Amino acid sequence: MNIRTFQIIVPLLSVIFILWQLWRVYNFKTKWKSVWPGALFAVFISIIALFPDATTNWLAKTLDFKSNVNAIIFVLIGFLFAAVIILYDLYKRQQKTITKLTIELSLLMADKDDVDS
Amino acid sequence: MSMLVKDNIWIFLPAYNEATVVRDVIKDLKSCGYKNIVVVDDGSTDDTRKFTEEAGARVLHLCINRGVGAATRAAILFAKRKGVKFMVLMDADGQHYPSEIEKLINELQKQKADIVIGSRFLEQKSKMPFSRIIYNRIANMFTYFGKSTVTDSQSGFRLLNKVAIDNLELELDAYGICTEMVWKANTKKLNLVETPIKVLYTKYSQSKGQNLMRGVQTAYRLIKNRLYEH
Repeated sequence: MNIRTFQIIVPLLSVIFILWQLWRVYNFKTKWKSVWPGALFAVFISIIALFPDATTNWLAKTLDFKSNVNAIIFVLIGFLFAAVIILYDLYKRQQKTITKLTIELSLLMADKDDVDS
Repeated sequence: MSMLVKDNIWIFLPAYNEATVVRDVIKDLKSCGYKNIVVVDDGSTDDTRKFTEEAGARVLHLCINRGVGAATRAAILFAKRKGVKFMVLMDADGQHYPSEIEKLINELQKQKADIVIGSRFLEQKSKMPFSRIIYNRIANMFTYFGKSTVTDSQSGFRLLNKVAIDNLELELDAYGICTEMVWKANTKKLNLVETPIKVLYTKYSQSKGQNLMRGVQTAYRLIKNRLYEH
């Protein structure tokens, strides 16, 4: 079997990415909840890179697509859609945090005004 | 209503860029005998804060514009910390009459209520623009999901007693807070009643507030918030 360049680069980058994420979880810089979608995507891409024809043909057969290219595009759009939902949820959480901090700050300033007067 | 009661009432005005009218609103409130007036400045970029201080009212300043819901939450938390017995929430655009606060107080005492909402629909003739009537009717339907029925879920003119102040834990940032308050009042078994109020609709006040697009966003946030709760 001839190993092509992308079959080395993609799994290698995926392993580095997953290890980096694990290191972040280990050092409490992130949570498992935030890591698994990215890790799943990295594993998926690695499998496709290692076994491109077998994987895409299997996907096409399972999802009943005529072409394996269509099947992989469909699955990747699914991943993209999931990523948008996850990022939107993250954005909303950040918004909530900003509001909470803004309210806290205003109350602290009010307390300070009371002390000053 | 005795002066003693009026001293126990804190008026909170969530305001965003209301420099044009805020002084007059504070002046009207003061002329009605209310001393404890707090303008919750929701990150205004105009002179709302300066004019409020000049008019002799207190400012609770949110450094970033976070929406009327956030301003209301800040007001409730402020009231909780200060041990306020009665708080009135009213719009800072001058559409509510300060003289009608007494109506809310009387209703609260008469019905032994925890929250009184000033309803624009209980009176026979409402001068509300037609588009807003439709909007409000649709918004009211959302309160049914919280098993509550009110005629004016979107009214910004509200009176809360200490029980309500201490028990309401609101989460939304924007206009959805009006409906959320009705839902949470029901969940916390608070006694919520309504009383008819008159509203002054000016070109200025109509340029503010809710519209259809905001309504759609509010509905989405309410549904999402409700789903996450369970």
